[in-house]
Amino acid sequence: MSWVAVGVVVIVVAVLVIVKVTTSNSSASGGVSSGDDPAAVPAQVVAAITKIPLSTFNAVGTDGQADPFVETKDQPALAQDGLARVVYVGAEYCPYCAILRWSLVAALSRFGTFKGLKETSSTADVAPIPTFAFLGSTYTSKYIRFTPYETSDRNGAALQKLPAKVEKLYTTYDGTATTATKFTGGSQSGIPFLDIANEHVSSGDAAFLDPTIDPLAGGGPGMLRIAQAIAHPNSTVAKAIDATAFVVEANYITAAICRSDGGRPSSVCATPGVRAAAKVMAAAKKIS
Amino acid sequence: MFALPARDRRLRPFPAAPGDASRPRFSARMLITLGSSVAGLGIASYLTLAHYTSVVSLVCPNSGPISCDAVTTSSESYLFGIPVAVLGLVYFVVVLVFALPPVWRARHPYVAPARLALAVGGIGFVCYLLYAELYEVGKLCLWCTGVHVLTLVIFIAVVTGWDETVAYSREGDAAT
Repeated sequence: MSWVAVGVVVIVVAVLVIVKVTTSNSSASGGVSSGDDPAAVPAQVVAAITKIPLSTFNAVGTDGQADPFVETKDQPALAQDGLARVVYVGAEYCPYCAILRWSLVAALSRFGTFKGLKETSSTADVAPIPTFAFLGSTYTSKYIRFTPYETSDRNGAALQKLPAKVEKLYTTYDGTATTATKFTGGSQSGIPFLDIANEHVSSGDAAFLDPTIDPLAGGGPGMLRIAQAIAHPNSTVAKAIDATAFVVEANYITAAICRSDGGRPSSVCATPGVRAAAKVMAAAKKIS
Repeated sequence: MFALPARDRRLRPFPAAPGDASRPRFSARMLITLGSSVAGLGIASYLTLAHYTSVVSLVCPNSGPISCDAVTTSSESYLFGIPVAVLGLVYFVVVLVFALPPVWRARHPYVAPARLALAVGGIGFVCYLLYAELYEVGKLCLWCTGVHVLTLVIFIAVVTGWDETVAYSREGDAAT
């Protein structure tokens, strides 16, 4: 009888391992979808980018990079269900949006959970950047609400129409590709647009993310190795793709959310990497 | 037809009891459990130290499916707000106490069942942690795996040695 109990335990362990190995082998392609019907992101990629070690976030901090957000004051609250709201506006063809999504997924995963993320890449007309597709995914969090919008697909065709309120946010804080607002300072206007509770807004990508584009153009080392490099930015692959920049952006996004949601959860907001970014943000000039 | 008379039946020897007087003071299972507990306590102490200090970092490769950092800094590294490393430390301290030879031979009727409950609870928790590593974090921690293997060894030794531990306690009862 006692050996039956041992057998049961061994079977349970074996089933856990075998199911994991077989499902990983069938899904972990690590490549970039070239079609318009994105495939689900392999579980290993999701695990790597959504579970970046705290030691990585803390070790990187801001890496001396400037605050990518414009800090605002006296703006109407941007909230949903009583929680701080994060609005993202981008397009699936856009390479800068593709880059930003890596940091966005990493940062938001510290506050909640993505389901149904797909793997895709920016437009195929130029060297595509491997990334995630938000369309069709869900995000749940007890701290924030996240509402992403992709205005065009990979071919530039219209995809999602912005609700009037989001359109207003976009024109107020981002302007248009040709019209800057006082919040954009006359530069970097355009997608990707990120608005965190109307307290931190950014238009265009952060300058320190630009060096990541060339190494990822054409697929780079593949989704899995990119995710692993961001999680462990001291690796050889990480240095080749300047993975530290993704972590810096993620820390700034995290700090912006923490400054907007009352510092919750403290297990995220009170960590050295986030506090380093929050310190830079607190010192920035605010625009009203 | 050839049934023995009642008087002769009484003369027949009883089968050997599990708690036979020839039982050694130290058994293989006792020593395996003790050794595994000491080793588990050592690894759990190392993991706890690495959790609370930045001076000590885990010596562990971070490549492929192996990443101690990813596992030990994940949200799954806490249970009910308590670091899993600390839970492991407490577990092995308790198991070590129950694995000490004098306690193994204790006459108390609840010692053997308590040891069995610890072993079963421990392996159940290991199954949960293995699930969390494989399916939630997507990485394996080698040091954690070491702890899991030791817990499995303890489970096997205790569960398959149930008769032995009960016999020890009976032997103790007989000696009183």
